[in-house]
Amino acid sequence: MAARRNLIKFLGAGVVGAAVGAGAMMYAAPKGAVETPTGPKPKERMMVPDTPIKMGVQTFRKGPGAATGESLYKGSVLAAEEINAEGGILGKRKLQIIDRDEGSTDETVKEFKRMALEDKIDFYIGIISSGNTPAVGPVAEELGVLTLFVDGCTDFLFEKAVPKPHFAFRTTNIQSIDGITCAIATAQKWPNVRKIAHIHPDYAYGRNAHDHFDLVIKKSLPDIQNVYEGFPKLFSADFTPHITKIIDAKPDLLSTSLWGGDYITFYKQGLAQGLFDKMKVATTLSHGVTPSLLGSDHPEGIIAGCHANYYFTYPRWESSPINKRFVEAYSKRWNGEYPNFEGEGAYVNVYLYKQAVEKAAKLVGGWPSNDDLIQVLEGASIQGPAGVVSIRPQNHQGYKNAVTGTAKNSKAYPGVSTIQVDQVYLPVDKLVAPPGWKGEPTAAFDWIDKTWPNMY
Amino acid sequence: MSLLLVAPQLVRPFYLILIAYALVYGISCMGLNLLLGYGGLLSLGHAAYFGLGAYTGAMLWTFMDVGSFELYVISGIFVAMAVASVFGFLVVRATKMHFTILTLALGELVFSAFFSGAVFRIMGSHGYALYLYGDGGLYIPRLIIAGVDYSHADRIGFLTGTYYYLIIGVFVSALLIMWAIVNSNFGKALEASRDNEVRAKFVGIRVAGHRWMAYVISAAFTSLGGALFGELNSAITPKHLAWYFSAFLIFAILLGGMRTFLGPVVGAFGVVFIQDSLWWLVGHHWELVLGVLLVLIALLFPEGLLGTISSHYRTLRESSN
Repeated sequence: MAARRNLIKFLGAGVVGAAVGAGAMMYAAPKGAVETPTGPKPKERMMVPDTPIKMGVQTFRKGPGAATGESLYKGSVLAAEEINAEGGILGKRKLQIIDRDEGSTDETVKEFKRMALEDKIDFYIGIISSGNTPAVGPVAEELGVLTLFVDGCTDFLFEKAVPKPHFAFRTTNIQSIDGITCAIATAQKWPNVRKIAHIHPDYAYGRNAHDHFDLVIKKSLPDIQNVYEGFPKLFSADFTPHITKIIDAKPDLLSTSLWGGDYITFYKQGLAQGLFDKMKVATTLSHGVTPSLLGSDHPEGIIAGCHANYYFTYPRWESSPINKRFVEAYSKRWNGEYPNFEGEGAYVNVYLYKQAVEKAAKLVGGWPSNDDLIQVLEGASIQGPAGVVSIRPQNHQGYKNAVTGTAKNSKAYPGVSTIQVDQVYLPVDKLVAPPGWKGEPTAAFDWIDKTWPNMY
Repeated sequence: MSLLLVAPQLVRPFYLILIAYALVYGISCMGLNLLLGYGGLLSLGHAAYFGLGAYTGAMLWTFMDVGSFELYVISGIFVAMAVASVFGFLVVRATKMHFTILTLALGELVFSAFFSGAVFRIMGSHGYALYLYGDGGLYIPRLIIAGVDYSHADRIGFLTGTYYYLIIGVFVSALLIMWAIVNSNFGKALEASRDNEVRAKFVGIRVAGHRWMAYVISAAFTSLGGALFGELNSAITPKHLAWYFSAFLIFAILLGGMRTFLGPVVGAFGVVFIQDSLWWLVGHHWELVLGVLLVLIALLFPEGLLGTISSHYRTLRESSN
């Protein structure tokens, strides 16, 4: 209990700090620094070309990745249609979507080059896989394409692959926050777990989630023992050998970062073997898929991760008109579907571009260059459906408060069997290293390792 | 050849880069075909040499700050040849299916050393962090070529100018060297051992020795293509060491024709441009159509595209005589 009290105290201070910080940012920031996507329409007062703005969109639209990635496309289309319905950016330039597939690293980079060289896109939104951003990021820098990554959130991107970004930005939380948030939620919800099994996809995201969860849970709870660690290949079709071994290891808790089609396959195979009856389960990304894809057989009570970014029921619609409006518009546009965090991220990125153009246009008195936009984007904030996203000028990374919750079967939202409830909302400044912190394997890991106390 | 030289004036940058990809694959395919077409030995492990060609120099840059392009290429070829010398000693003792299985197993050993992070662990915590969070991929910057630093040059200008012509130069040199090899006594002995191993041994050809030599030379060419690919692609990932990348190179060879000297090069161009064109024709379903197309090509042109053309040409010439 002492552990739990200390943890809550530690986080409580952070929540209060974050609330004060957010409030201060909302009210004390220079006028226009935090804007909503439905801000005032700018007056037509300057030379604005009337050609469309080409917006490159790249995501998984087929295969197991599509369960997560399709929403990115849909969120960007929705935002583009809303902006175009109002006459376009600066009331004149409409957005034209150039849609390309995300795939293996080579295919993704190749299609990115095609968009830059052949389609001549004005800006880019995309990427789901954290294996792809470290390859696309350097190419974006070299080709000079204004790139607003939605996901592919590996810390590696801005810590190692593109340590001094100019053209590349990213708005979803960094990957390490995912494992950290999941571990904190676990310690809060189940302070008595001691024996932990792990199953994570065998690539950058899975390794990152494992390492950060493991570090934070060991800081949060005493006598933690890892009884099983499995790393199946990404997009595996059969998890049963792992499930059998996990059950055999008799853990108190299973920690997993399986996502998309992998997670759906895993939970269905886990149900068949009674895994969810035998242990508690904490996920980083179970509720990252398009919400309607999780069936009514999905087990209740697990920690239902949404990449520590966004789930469509939160912030609660009663207190967040912007989230309510976004979800309703998305659902209407896409035949009753609800957005996942990728859809929200893409939607925000399109409006972030619009906001940057409008602000930069005011400053330069004409259509802004990429460099003008970059100056505005560095340090910009935008109020999206998930809350305020702020971009650090030092590393072009966006940060917003982290969220996770508990899975519950519900009929409250037509077409969605499982929703996320009892959200845990964590202040991002308490979860990431301060700007400029260097360390291995990630700055966040090193910072937590060296500065967080043991909370028990 | 002159078409390749004037291509920068005729072709848009994106397609010029695709030509560059086809040329570097062509060099690797030529190398692999020394074993397959001339030696009658199917290797499913040559992706390891392709990957080593780029990984060696990429590691030199990442961990030792070596920025010379010449060192990058030479170190890649050297390591690939060193590994091939050892592996070759083991695999040439087998033939046919056994040879293929051995090459597959040894190739997967190299792949696993990178995919599991073992190679990165040697480089300490920084190396392991690169592996854990970078998916085992390494970024390769624009390196210093002949003392000229291109790191701040315009990327597209570099790829479609200096680097494009450098690839052509290396490609032509590789082509001439390979032509000399296959037409030498060594090449003829290799063909003889392919056609009848027993008879070759009977006339005094050291079959195992020739095969070992062919294996090492083949690895050198494949790694040269890999090194050029790394700089062109700006990155190398463990995928390029995996058996399915070997299968990709083999498919290119079969598409062009393994019994013709230029078949592997034609196949490399074919694979690159078929893959690319399908996107425009069928969009997201391109992989499905590519599969069907590949089956049809294999059934209709068993000798490969260039092989079929040359055999038709031979038939026509013989009938006219």
